[in-house]
Amino acid sequence: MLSLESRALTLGYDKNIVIKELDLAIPTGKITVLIGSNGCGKSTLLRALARLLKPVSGQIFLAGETISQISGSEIAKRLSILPQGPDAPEEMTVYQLVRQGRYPHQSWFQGWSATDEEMVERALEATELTDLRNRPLQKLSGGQKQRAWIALTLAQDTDIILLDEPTTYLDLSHQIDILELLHEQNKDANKTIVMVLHDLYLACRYADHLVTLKDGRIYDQGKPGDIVTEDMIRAVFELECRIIFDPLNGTPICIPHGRSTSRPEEFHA
Amino acid sequence: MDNIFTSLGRLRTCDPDRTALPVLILIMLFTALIAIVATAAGPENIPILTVIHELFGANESPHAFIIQSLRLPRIAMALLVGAGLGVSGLILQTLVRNPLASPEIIGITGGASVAVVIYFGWLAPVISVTWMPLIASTGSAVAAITIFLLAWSGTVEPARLILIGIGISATFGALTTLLMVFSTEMTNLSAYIWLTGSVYGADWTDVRHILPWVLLPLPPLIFLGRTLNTLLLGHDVATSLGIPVQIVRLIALGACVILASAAVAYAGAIGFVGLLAPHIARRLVKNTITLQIPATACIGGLLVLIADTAGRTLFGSLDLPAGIFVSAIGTPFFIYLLYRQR
Repeated sequence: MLSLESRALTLGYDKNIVIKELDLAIPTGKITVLIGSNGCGKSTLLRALARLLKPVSGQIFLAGETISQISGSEIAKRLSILPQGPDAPEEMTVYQLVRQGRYPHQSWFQGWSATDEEMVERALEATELTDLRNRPLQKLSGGQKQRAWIALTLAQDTDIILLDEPTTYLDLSHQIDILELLHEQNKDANKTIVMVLHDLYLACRYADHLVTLKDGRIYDQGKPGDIVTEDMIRAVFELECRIIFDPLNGTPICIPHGRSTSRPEEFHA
Repeated sequence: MDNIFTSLGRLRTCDPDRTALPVLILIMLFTALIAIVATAAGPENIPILTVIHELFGANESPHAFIIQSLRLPRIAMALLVGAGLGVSGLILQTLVRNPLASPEIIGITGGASVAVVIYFGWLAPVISVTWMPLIASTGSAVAAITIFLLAWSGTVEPARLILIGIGISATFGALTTLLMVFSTEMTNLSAYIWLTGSVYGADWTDVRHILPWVLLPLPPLIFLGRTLNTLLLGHDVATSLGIPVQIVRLIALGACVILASAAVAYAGAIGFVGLLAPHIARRLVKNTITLQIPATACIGGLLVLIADTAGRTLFGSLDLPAGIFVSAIGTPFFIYLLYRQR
């Protein structure tokens, strides 16, 4: 089981500091979800954890080693990231895309192995894409396309998977579909999953560990049931709301107040 | 609907890797065939068998001089120039993930054009014409370095590179025209032929000089083929898969500059080969850049060879520059591509 943590991590673009001196330990074998309002630095943090962004200062440790000291191909065998809105050539087929996931496990001299093929088949099966394997990406629906990209990261066969808003642009049923798939991967294959989600309800429902960010710092972290409160939502999202609990799963649900929200007395009348 | 798509998909792309190699071999054989036909064709038509005989070094037929000294070096030059431009275009299109990229766009042709017009206009009386390739490639190098420096912002971002390249190319185009306005008519004629692009009068010395510049960048590119394939998934995914994206981009771009500037130095500003050849190659050899590189080299070579052969045989005693015919095929194809892209 590989650990992933940051120490005194400061991130930014040019002179614009987005994340300040952040210490975060990602729980291994759990689903961690990063939430926060737009521009709070959650995607920036995720990208830095996946070494897509160089820190301004501070360090990231993968299994105790500083990530900048590990070679790119070694990291690629342990940690994968699915960025937001990935893009591939339109005529590429599902199979050809998923195959690329085996890149870090191959070398020029050692061709396509039986293990490579098996991992690709397993990834296709897990994402229910076996029958669509020869279909070009441009002929897939949004949900199928996202499953194909997840299959790519599954084929990469890493202990840690990071995902940046994997459910964006999908309708509700496909969002659930993707998150269930990730949940299964976490439970059955023991993957550590870290993702950024926009939807607070889905974040509470699927996260084992919820991290809320505000102004480049961690506001709070813990089990959704423990940390999601009306005060927290007010502080992090600047939103008045009421918290109720999902009758099916027991996870917190945030019901925002708004100018159009009916007052209780109107509701009863 | 679904079933038609899946079954068609299976028929077409069941396992693309399996058909790629035989198709590549066919393309190579076809290139050799066309080269032999081109050697035979001309104001003096030579029997094919004599050509083949001469190719194996017989050197005894009355046509030996025409074949060995006039036609073969010109054909070799056409193939090398086309290969250089084609592969340069293929790699550029892969790097920027845009099928409309080509060596013209990163300023290689524009820089060389300015240098050559300056040469014809002012330096020709002082410096021998044998230095022309060096002058042209100096122009290319200056242009390429200018664009790299302007595009550099801690990393090489291909999209930025292309945008700056387009701007610089337009500037060089204007500069070329301006310089031609200020030079004499005789200068303009020589410059014009160069700007159209031609392999007229190529000899074995030229071929020996261009050969390493076209052949040496190919093995590293083929070696990087698998990586370039994965780079098509974008910077982030490629990094996630463990590719040192910046290093790979720099090596590949360097190879593009060498390939294209060598071609432009010896044959002038032949347009469209760098755009056209990779597209045709990708249609024929699917999804493996490793095999698309030699395929593009052959097809680029074929385009220039066919254009040059048409130029020197179709109009009697007129020897038209190959660039004209490449553009004649290139323009409609380009419009077709834009149309397909919507």
